Amino acid sequence: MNKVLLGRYLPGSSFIHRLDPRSKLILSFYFIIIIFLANNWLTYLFMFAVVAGCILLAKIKLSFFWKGVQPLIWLILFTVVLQILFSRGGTVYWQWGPFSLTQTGIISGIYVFFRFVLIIFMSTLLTLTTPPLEIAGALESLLKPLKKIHFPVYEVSLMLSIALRFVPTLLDEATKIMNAQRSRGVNFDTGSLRQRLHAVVPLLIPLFVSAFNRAEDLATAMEARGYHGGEGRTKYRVNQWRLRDTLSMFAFLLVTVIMFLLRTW
Amino acid sequence: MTSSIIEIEQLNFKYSQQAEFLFKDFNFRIENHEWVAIIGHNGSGKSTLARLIDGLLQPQSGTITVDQQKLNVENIWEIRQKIGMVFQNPENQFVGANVAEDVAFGLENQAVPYDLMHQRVRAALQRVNMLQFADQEPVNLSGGQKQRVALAGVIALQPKVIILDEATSMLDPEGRRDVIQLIHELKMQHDFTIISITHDIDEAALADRVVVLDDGKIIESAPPEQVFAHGKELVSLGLAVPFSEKIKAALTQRHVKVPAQYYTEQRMVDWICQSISKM
Repeated sequence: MNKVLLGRYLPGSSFIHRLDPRSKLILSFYFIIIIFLANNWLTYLFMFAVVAGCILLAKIKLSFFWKGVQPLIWLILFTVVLQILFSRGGTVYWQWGPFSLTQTGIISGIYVFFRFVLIIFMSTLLTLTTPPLEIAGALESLLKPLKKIHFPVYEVSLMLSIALRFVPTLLDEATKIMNAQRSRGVNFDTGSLRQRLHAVVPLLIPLFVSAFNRAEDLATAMEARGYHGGEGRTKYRVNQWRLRDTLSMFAFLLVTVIMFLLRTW
Repeated sequence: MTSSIIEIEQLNFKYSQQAEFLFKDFNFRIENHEWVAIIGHNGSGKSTLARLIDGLLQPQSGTITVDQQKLNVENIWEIRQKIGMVFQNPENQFVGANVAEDVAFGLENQAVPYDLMHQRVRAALQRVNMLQFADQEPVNLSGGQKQRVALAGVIALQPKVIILDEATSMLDPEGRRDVIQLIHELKMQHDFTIISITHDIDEAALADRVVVLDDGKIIESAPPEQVFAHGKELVSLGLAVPFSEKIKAALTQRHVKVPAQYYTEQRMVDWICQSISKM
């Protein structure tokens, strides 16, 4: 389970590490939007340059980004192949029934591939440079306007941060229960699909029951410590918007302008 | 009036699924700055009592007065500010994503301003010797360290009363000694009122008064020496026998005449030395 890159955080003190998590979150989303502006070689090249610049600023080894792409590689290739086989236009190289290999198809397949890789690189950069709880905190302060339509922003973010905090605890416990059941003769690794599904039951039920007990204990402890809803609380962790955050915003604005120029080149 | 910080009068309580009342016309009081250890076998109502005092459970009838205030629905949050609780399982009471945030959780609930909150969190972590762990996540801490963080969370709130609900029962001997030592120091320095619910003999030995609870009734309420003098009867009360009492029992078996009253380990050593030199 250690291979999971999701939510992995690499401590550091680079420029990107020290950015406000809110600006990182906004910029990551913004990047995903402007990537759809890219429509020719030049624009993709430019986007790669932007991502490479960000990675350099974060001072993180490239191998981590490859690890981020790895689990999704089959999904990406599948999409690329579909894109190649079903697009029409340009010179036709090969055709068989509904399938065809055309110039436009190949080009758009390559574009799709780049688009995926760029998005994954950027989101990996976000999770590698920002601790999960800071992402949760940033999400809360960004969702604050939704309070106007009675969306329970504080409750959702509390749930998110408690969930994140209990992920390693529950993983530990799952391993413990698994080993305990193994020692009593439950076989998790072999057998038919049916048998394997059956073997999961003695793992899932104790895990659920203990999660309920944990929730009960946690709720009692929270109440004893004076928690009575999100209203009227102060915050221990306060994000500070600094000059570098504003600067990165402007940098991305510049990127957008250049993208528009390169589009119509 | 009195200086009692907690007064319980004519309390009746039962869990909704139970037919019998756990507490019936229960009366109990705890003086200001007192350290009370509540002992008793499993199901004797110790934890229930702690939860009743903090208003986490509601009695069917009777009054609970904390610091001259009668506990009711309106002032429950105010009273909870005066009581800090540490529970049994170190894992399940850790709310924050890291140590500092967990200590701050109670302060956030009380809407303590930013600067003061950071100051108090630092001071509390310093006090329990966990300041260098401030940014650590709970997975990286041992059980004893997590309980120290829980204590820091309580200290930061500056309550009048600290309730320890079997706070040391899931720790290893080292972590347990560590936490008990810390509680002892806190008591010395800040003069909290401490209610500790425990099965641990060392924890009970430090108290000013030991209260023995059995099925919702107080059987005995006396200083530890007096309670420990019961020797073997302690086992049936859900408490281990102190080491000096074990030695006495072993000596009696070997037909050595031993003093009847309770001796601490040091006094036991002295007594043995004296007896040998007399021989």
